Amino acid sequence: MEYIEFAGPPGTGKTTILKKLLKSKEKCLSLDEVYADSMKNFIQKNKGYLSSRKFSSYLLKSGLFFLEHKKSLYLTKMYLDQWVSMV
Amino acid sequence: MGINGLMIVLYEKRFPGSLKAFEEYANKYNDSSRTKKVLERFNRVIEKYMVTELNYSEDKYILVDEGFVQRGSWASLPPQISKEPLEEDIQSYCDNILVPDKLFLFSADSETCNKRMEKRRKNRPAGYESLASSEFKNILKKWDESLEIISDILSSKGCEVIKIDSEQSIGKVKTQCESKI
Repeated sequence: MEYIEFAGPPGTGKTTILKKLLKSKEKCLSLDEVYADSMKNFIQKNKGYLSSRKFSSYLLKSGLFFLEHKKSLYLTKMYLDQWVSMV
Repeated sequence: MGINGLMIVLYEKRFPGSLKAFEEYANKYNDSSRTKKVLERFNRVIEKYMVTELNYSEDKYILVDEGFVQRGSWASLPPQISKEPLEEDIQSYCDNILVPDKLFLFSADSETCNKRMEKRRKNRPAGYESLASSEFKNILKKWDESLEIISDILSSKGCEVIKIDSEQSIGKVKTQCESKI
């Protein structure tokens, strides 16, 4: 995954070009799009647990544990999914 | 605590002191009502990046509009500029953001920018609507300068900065960007 940011004063055409690249380049996705999909999947997958205070606390602890041990957030997510499947 | 709050906490863990640094940066250049807006937008960017990192691992190029770079320059440019953005403040801001792999840095003459904005439904970005044309041109100039500083700092942190002259036609700009992806 590679992040490419578009920056410039308003009126320089950033958004126009970004939209064109999304159409023409197969491997390009917008952060907004990925974010929306990720949230949707995350909520669907963990339905029923998200309102639980225990879950929030677990998510925070596991996230912090992995960050402290310099693991990626993706690993944190995998660990979290495993935990959810065991409950 | 909701998911959004958790993402902010995780970000702070990854970049200790970042939230305080963002707040100081926002406070220094804005009045209290704009500071609130600036911080909300920083949090939104944090949330988007963190949720994406947490849930997504495919080999793709993620194109970011209004990310940390853009927000960082915008944050120091209120409609009524009272302080010039200081390089040391921008440096501190850049020490607390996720550095993009690549930065497409767009620039164009302020006349061109103005003409393009006039064609839009919403014209200028929110907050700058009531400025006189000369004042707004000054904002655009400062915006360019601030982005130049940010891009130099990010370049020293390993980000590949690609400067785009957007006076060129859309087709040419698109081709230039495509060649870098």
